[in-house]
Amino acid sequence: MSEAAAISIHELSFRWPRADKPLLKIPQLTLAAGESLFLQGASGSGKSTLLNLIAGVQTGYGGSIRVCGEQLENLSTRQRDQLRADRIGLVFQQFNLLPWLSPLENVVLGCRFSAQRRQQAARQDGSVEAQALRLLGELGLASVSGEKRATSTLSIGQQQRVAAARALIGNPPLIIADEPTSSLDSDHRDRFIELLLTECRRSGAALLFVSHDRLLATHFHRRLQLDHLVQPAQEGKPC
Amino acid sequence: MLIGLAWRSLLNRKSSALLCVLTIAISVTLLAGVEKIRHDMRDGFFNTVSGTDLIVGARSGQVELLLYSVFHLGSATNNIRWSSYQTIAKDQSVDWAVPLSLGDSHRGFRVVGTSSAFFDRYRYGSERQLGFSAGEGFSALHQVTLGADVASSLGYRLGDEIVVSHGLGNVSFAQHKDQPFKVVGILEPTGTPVDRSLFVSLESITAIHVGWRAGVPMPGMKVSEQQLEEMDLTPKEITAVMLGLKSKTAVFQLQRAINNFRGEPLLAILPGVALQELWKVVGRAEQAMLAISACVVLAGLTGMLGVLLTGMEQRRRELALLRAIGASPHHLLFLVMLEAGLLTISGIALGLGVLWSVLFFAGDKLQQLLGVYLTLGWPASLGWISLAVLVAGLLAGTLPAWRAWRYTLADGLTPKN
Repeated sequence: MSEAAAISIHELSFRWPRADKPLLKIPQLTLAAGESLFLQGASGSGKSTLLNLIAGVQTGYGGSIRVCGEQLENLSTRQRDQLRADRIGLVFQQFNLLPWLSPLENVVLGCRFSAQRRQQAARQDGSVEAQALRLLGELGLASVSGEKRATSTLSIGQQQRVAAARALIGNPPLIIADEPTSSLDSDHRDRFIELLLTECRRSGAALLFVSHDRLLATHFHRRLQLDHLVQPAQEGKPC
Repeated sequence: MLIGLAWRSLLNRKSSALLCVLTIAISVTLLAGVEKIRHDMRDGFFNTVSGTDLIVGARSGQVELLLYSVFHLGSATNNIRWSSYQTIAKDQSVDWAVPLSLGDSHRGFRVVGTSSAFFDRYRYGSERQLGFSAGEGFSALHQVTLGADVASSLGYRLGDEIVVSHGLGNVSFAQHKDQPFKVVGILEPTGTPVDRSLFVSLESITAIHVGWRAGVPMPGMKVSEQQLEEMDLTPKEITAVMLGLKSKTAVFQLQRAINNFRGEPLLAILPGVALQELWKVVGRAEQAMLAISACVVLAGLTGMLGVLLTGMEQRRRELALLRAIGASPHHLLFLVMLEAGLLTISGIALGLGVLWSVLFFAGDKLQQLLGVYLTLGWPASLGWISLAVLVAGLLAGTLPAWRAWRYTLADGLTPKN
């Protein structure tokens, strides 16, 4: 994949239109290609806003954000959406899947808006479906991948792994996981993180893992505390 | 590509989607059905008399003459002398002349005295000739040929005997009891006033009035069949005449000549022109019908709007998720519009399917019920109807689509609940 850093943030500041203090102020943040970073922050610390900024769905900030070599400020809305579709795989805490699609279809959905990822998947495994099946197999979901069963019948742990497969399909250079383990018990939590890290290593993707739970940090190359990054004495606004 | 997603999403909401499609289908069936009936009614109306160039009666208004001679509504104020009829029929430009004598009835249906040429000359629709579903046209005294409705609603068959009443009332006390008629033929349905008429010869009309004065039988006057046969039963007066000309170009000339007839005041009308004038009055109703069914479509689409809008709130997460995997707000706007489009198109297709099946399987029943001759086929403006409903459906879809757009911009990657 590209040699450019997965994320490179410089002098970022963001404030809500009518707020008097900025919510975020980050002088410097870099996530190198292939690196895994644990970003810890309490709720209300601006985590979600930071992720929305990186994913290109939130605009109106100062400073610069580069994602996979692309300067977000220079891109149009449409180009930012395309960048997200092509380069970023996202996993959330919950509601990751469309309940009316099968698990396999949910994984394939990850390529729906990106021709680039479809081609990548086809190059690596022959077809998008083949890669989806491989990923599901590697994540220990071979048993549900063949079925047309409703995604809603899966356990939460299984659902999160399907979501991880969807984020990974088509080999995006950046995976962002936002509290993906908060709904899991501790056994499943550790297993999920290990699986996610293994898959990211295998595909060479950088991983930005965001959580409030500092105990998880041990799994990662690097750990950052959002509260420390952000300039002191700011008041977080829930979002 | 998105259409697959839209489809699956709709499948997931099967019951509400189905309800949507059904509402739209019903409204489309109604709209297209009304349009169809309107069209066929109009065609039927204008084709009530075809192939007749002029209708002649005593001088009155042209609509009035048309009403009593063709539609058998109301009655003539005056009759035409038989001698006038003969003069007109002998005119060199006249190809054929069919006399009509009205004034008697049978249980609410008009009895028409005419010549047997009526069955050959009368045309309806696009030059369609009368056909017999049983028997034949009358050929002798006291024989009657029935219109289709008369036969079916009164349950008459060939060989039955019926009694004609004097005058036009449904319940008439003056009955021509002494001279019953025998049913010799039943006509095929035409969707014209012919269906609701009984046809006898002019001579029969004269015969049943022998011995009558001023609408009542003279006491003690009884005529036997024998006496009738020896009598000259040529009528003294008739009500109207249908004329066919050798050349259409002579129409206006002959019309003028008849209107200036020296013997008595007559009026000749062109059926097409008179129909046009009458339709100006009758046609108002059809527009009201169309307006009402358009309102029903509107109601159907409002129902869809409701279903889509309530669905939006529940689908907020779904939209945020699609956005996370790279969908732009445009994609989501388009997705919701697609859903509205799919629902509308399915509704239109189902609605038209229902209409077709109704016409196919129940067309005859409808025809009898409505008195409209329905053809099996789509209404002429089918394309416009479908297009109008589709456009209206997509317009209705813009509202939930706009809401989806707003949600996606407000929510970012995670929906706020």
